[in-house]
Amino acid sequence: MAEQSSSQTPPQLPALPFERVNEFSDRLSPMLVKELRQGTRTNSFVILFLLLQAILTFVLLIASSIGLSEGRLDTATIGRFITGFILIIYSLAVLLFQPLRGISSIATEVRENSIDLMSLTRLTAWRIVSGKWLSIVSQSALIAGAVLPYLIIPYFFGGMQLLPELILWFCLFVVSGALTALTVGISAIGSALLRGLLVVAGGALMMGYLLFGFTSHIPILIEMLSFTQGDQSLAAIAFLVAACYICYFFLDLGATAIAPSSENRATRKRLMGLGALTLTYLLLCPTGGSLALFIALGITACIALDLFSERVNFASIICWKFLRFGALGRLAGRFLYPGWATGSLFFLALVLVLCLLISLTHSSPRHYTIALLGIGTLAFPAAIIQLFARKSENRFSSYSFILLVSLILSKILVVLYDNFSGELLLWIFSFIPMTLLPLAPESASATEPFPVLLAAIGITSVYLLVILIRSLHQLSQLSTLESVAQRGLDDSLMEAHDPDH
Amino acid sequence: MSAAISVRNLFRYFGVLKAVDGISFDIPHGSVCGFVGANGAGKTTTMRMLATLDYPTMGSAEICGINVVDHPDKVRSLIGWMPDNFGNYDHMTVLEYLDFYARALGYTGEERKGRIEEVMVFADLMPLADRISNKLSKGMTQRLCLGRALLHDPQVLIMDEPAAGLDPRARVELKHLIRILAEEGKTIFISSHILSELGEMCDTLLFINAGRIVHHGDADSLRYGSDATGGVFYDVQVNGNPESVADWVILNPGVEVVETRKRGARLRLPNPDPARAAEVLKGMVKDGVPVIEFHREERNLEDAFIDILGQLEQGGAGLTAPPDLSTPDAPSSEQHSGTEATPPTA
Repeated sequence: MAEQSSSQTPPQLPALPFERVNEFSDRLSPMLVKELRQGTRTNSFVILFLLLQAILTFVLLIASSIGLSEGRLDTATIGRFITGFILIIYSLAVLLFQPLRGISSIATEVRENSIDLMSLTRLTAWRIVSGKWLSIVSQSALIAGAVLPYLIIPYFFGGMQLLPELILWFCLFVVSGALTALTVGISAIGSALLRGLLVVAGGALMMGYLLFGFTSHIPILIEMLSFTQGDQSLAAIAFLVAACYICYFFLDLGATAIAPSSENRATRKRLMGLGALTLTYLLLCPTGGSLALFIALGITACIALDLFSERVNFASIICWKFLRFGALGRLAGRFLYPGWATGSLFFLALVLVLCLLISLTHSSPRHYTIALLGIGTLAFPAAIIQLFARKSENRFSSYSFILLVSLILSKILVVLYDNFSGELLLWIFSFIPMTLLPLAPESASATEPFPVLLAAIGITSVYLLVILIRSLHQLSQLSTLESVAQRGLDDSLMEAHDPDH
Repeated sequence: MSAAISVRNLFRYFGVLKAVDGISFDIPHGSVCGFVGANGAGKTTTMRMLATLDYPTMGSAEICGINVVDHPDKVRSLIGWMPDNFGNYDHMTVLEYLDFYARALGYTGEERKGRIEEVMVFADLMPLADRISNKLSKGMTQRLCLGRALLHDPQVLIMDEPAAGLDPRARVELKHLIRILAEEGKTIFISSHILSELGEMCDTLLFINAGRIVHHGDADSLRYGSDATGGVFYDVQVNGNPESVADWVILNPGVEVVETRKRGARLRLPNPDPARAAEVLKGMVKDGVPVIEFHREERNLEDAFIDILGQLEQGGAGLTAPPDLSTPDAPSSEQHSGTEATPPTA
């Protein structure tokens, strides 16, 4: 080809504009370079960026002119108003519009067949997904950077707590990263219906909250971020850990969807989940057991979402690493091999870990009740799928949908209970365990067993039993797969020792 | 030396559908092999497995001696893949598109520039450098895709329907590029519906039907193909009485007159050996038959393909396949080593 090219080069051709493609970007991920090139040219980003600048400049000019003139409003009030307004506009950009740009990012590549072309290069599934995420987050960082001067200017009006407000600005950026990871990850794995639902319902909820609820929360958040109490620093670290885990989890979820089946992504994902759960729980314990428990249940929900929706089939080469550790490796494999069958066992282990954490920290019936209600609610969709939709093509969407409907239903029932005190209604719908949450013992110091705790134990046990029984067939077949893997491993070891074999 | 592409008892099932049903073939280094079959015959599935984009249910496939399932990364560095259908990116120029793939393949700095420049010149993409990649015509897009596939200078090119949807000029350009690549010694495995074009550029043709190989041979063996029992046909034209051919045949056993024609006859020789045809011609001339033309009948490739499918429907006789590469009727117990997808099923 070299000869061909040299003979075909027409002398009049202009030199290639390589200066555009050969800057410092050699050090960056190819995926990030590509996505940034495309992303920063899209109308959605350019318009959003310019509109943001225009709105903020306009508001600041108006506020400045009011502040400078002799008026009835004091400058501190104006300063607080400007800060609130800027934070709302900023939140709309980075918590709503930017994350939504990721909702079809991987799906488009899959639909256009370009994911195949990428997978033939040195790009791994993780680098593809993380490159997409990082590109959107980088653009969010541009927006955050552009907003920062507007956020500092109100300092001169007074009534501003500069440091807490800057920390809030950073926290919103971190949340934006987690939400972007969620949309990018789901774009690879979720059905079109689920993605549509996320855009419409999630977008509407977020917009509603940011426009009408966020304003009242800003002073509370700023107060929290002043770190006047000692345990607030631990809570901030726990928040960062949880956000990092959510980013990792959803990106890995997307990477798993496009990775070849010979790649084991489940083991690390499960262990990371377990680690994040333990760490956040322990960090949040000093701030109050309930918050720690709710965050731990949120992380458990993420883990369960993956555990119960993994493809059950995987390549036998994945067993190799486990088989090297003999019987111990085989035992670990029962919990850590990919697939919902081993996922069921891992979920059981997760329940035990959570109960252990509770017993070590806030050992009260209230905490056990909340934990078991949460675990039962997470097990409910899995049991439904195992009983009625075992051959579902997209377990992730099925699980997410059932879980979402269950949570919405339990929320409606709780609202009804709050208004009409219909306890019977809650017991009728107790097959969704979260419905019983208002009946959980109020006092954390209570020690006697309660009917709700007993019900939570009963319902959750039934669901876990259903899931385990329905997984037994797949679990029993793991031995066959391990035998095949052992033969492959032996052959490979023999080949390594004796290449002529 | 092993073949560039070697496939043995390859199966791919999608549920109960047997997309690829135990195929075996070899493609030597530096040859161009056309892969022909109707829609749904199993062409794309086979090619995707060779390109490490899909997994065989059973059997093995090797590229330059490397198993595609066990060592996909090594295989990927050896192959260039041109899919039948793919999307380009918006907001990205042709140059940036190639730059992205060159980066993704691990090229940096001057080396990357060199590779991009080389493929752009080869595929005549220089004038399109600043054009947005998803605003190109089909022909330009295929040239861009070829350029991308050549970025890492692969030894084997797998091209799935590269000429589909191209206008005649773009087809000629693509054929020209493929010829150059073949001359450079690259192994090219190309599928197409346009058999005449494949016949011109391919050393061998591989016909697939319902997931099975029904013919593997050179284009000439199809053009001058034999009938179900191995007989071949010759057209004989004489200067004078056309019956003279039939008269000669009566006196010479081992040759049959299939049809008497206006200016001669159509003969069938049971033995496809050209030496036997030479003997017949020599005998005719020696016995005074005024032969002015004697040539083996040539079919176009489409007819040959239809004939083969017809023969298949009548019982499968007369299929040509390399003698050592059998296609079993049912999945054999042979499996590729190590990484087959998964016994446990829901």
